[in-house]
Amino acid sequence: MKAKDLIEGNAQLWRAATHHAFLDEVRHGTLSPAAFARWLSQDYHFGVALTRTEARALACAPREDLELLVGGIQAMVAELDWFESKASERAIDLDVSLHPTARAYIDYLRALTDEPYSVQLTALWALELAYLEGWRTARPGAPAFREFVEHWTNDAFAAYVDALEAAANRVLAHAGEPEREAFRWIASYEQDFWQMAYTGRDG
Amino acid sequence: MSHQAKVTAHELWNANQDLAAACLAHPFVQGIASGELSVRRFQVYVIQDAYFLEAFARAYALALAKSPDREGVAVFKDLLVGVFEELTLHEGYARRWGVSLEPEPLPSTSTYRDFLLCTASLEPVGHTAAAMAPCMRLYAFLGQQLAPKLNPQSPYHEWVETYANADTESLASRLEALLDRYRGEPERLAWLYRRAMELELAFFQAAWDAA
Repeated sequence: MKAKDLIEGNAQLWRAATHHAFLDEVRHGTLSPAAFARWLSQDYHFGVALTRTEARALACAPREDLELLVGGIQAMVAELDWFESKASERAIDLDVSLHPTARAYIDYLRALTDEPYSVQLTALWALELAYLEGWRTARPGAPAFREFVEHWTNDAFAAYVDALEAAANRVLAHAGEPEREAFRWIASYEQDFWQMAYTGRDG
Repeated sequence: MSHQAKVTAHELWNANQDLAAACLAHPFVQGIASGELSVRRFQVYVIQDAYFLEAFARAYALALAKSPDREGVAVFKDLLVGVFEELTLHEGYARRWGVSLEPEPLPSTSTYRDFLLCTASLEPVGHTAAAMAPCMRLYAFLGQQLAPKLNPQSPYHEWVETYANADTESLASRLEALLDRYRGEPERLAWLYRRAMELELAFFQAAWDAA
């Protein structure tokens, strides 16, 4: 099995994970500032949790993947700094309580760290690719959101996702149902996350 | 109270000056600065150190995952990046010194790796900092102590220069600041710190004895 086979085998779920009215409205410039603020603040907390998840994956990763994951953690911490500076510029409060949808996704990331490395890596690849592909649908982005769309679709991020996919392809060569299940959960949580940001309600 | 538990990084370091002095005086360490250390002994050390640094990186990652605040995430990230660069450098040394990284770790290396990973897995983050700070502080100390008497012709001069530089001091200080920030159970911190210092000395001794 290859990483791309997971997408082909779950085409409808994947489309829902990467296409959403939230992203369409970012492109058109009609998204409400409240929805964007909700997205940014919830995603910030998700980002902190994701950094910890990457670190737990690194702790059990084979030697050959350490560089990839060190790079990923480095980029995530830089990303958290960027979120903080953008939130400050736009007077968005990051000190918010977790929405139940974000909480459920974060709890799932924690639960993943009890799974074998192949499952953890598959999930990391899937969630980063969903993010990249999702934001690509918002291109070029209305002026108010353009810097975000450009930032979350830039070449460095795309290269990182490619490197995760190459590593995922290696572990997926011997993978089975646990990896497929993780992929489906990630796709499902991604869809819920857009929906939560868009409506303020559970997905 | 007959015994006052040492809790700050500075106090813990001061309480282990006997082991710091024993490491500095060790013929392996003195031989690095003078250049008189045999190539074979250095090769053994380089191989063992690559095993050790890999475990050190994993322990930093576990500490990052457990750190309760954003500051801990940021600092453990920098420490992780630092040790990963050191690991890459040492694997480069190993290639340059014509040694393969294939052999099994020596028992002293395995013991130290198990100690680090067990602490990082099972104990709170302050305790992990107490298990990891001795290595960072000791190497900064050794680099700074050896630099003035370094034989520039020593084939191992890069080792001394690396640990004498400001980056090593800075990383050691940042880890010590996290130890002071998170702390933990005083008796346990003291035990972990001293145990790591003993394992450092044993690490030099093992490289000395193996060749």
